Amino acid sequence: MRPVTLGQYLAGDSLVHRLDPRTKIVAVLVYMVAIFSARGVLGYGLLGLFVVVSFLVARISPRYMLRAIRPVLFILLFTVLINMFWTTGEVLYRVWRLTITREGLVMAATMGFRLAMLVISASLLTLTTPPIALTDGLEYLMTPGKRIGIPAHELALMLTIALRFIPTLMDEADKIMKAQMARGADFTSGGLVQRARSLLPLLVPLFVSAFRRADDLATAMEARCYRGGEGRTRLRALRLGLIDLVAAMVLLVVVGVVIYLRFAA
Amino acid sequence: MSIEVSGLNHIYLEGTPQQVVALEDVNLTIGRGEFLGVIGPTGSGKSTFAQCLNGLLRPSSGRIVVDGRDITAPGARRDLRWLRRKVGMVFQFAEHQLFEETVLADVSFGPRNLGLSPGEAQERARAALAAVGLDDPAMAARSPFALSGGQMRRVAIAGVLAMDPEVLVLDEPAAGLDPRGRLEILAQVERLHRERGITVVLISHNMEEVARLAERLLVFAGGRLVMDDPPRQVFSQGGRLRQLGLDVPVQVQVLEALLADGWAVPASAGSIEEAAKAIAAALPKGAGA
Repeated sequence: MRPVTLGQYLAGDSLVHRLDPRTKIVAVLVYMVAIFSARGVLGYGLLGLFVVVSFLVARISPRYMLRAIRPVLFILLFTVLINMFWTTGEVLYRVWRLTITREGLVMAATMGFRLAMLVISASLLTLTTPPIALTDGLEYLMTPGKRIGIPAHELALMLTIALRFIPTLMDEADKIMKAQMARGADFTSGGLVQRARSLLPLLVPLFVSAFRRADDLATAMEARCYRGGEGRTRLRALRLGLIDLVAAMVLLVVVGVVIYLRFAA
Repeated sequence: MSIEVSGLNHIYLEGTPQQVVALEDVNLTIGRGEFLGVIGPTGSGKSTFAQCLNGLLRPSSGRIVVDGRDITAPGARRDLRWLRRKVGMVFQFAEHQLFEETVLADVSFGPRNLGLSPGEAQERARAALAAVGLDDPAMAARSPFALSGGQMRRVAIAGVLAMDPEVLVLDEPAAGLDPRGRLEILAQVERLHRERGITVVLISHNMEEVARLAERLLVFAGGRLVMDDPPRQVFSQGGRLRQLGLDVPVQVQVLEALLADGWAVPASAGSIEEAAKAIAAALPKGAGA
């Protein structure tokens, strides 16, 4: 009955949406390395501009950049304040026992910017890539790891199944909750212990049904001869295209300039 | 005890791109001791309607007055315990709500929530188990997860009955049971209605079931209440029902076929017995044995 929106994927058909998920995952990783190796206003400015332009190309409102920061706002402020007050150097202001140094201000601004760009760039990935494409991309990227014993296919399958069943289990939880409420259960009042206890009538049936579903799914997969990743073909084969090449080039040029600026300074 | 519904609307995810209008301008009054059947194709709003009746869903707009108290008024949702006691709700696949270690503990969950003492709650639970035909004393101590599907369903229904409701709303109580389980569950519902005068609202996809049991039939389609008549009258409109993706019970199908063949029979009937009598009356004298 109730459609559940999962993650924060915003459907669209922009250039960024059409990029191969692998390109986007690797790009975010490269970008993260770049943001931590940049130095100087010009370098950071360039990286900041790159993200803003990416959002524009993806046709996603800049509001989502602020929204991405919201969950880490506390850590962000904490980092900024710590750096501002606890960096030694040339003292600018002195308030009671706290001192603000020139180096502290620079450090605080740098760390704040780095953290913000980190979450914003990662959010662009999840905003423009459906969860299933994301796990597909991860599986491809992890495949070389099989030689050293990383079960790439199994990990990706686990992720896919987990993502697939989140809305189902949420529906189920909603239904069970209503059924227990109809029997007078109260999930919202009382102290901590009382509330934890009152969750039992919800959790027990939810676990029972999750196990039943897992069992059914395993049977259904076996009935269709699922035998793991070995020799398995794909419904959605990922293919790198021209836009992936162009995007990679643009990113490499930006990162190259940023790194050049670092060593030139 | 009556339920008055007026101008009821419900929209899921209102104001988002995924919004779905589930109920649109539903008006009706459910009187004390009635047996209502509710039919309608999947997604027609039957279940949403049922959940509005005991306050599990807050309607987007409209009024529901239970026993003179407006449950949709602002502030009315703060304490709905009295309502849960009056209007019992049996969900689809009700056995999925079982959680306790023993059948007795599970059935007495409702009464305990009403603030009854453990002794009273157990007494109510035993009475409710007896009402669904599970009065074997050994049953009370068993784990609900060790029972058969039909037994689990009955334990779950007993869990709602133990609240001693005046109105019982059942959403497909017999779905997924074998024919015998179906008959037993429905016979017990009918007995509760007959012996205790409980008002019953039965949602079902089985036309024979509602034709036999209900005194009044609500037909939902696309979120609207499109028919509200006795079953005989509803099933006389076979063409319209089929258009909605529904059907008429088998006895009405027989009558329709006879009628099309030129026999002088009525176009519709409630129970199978009624149809049989009508057919017998239409036979030439002396043709029957």
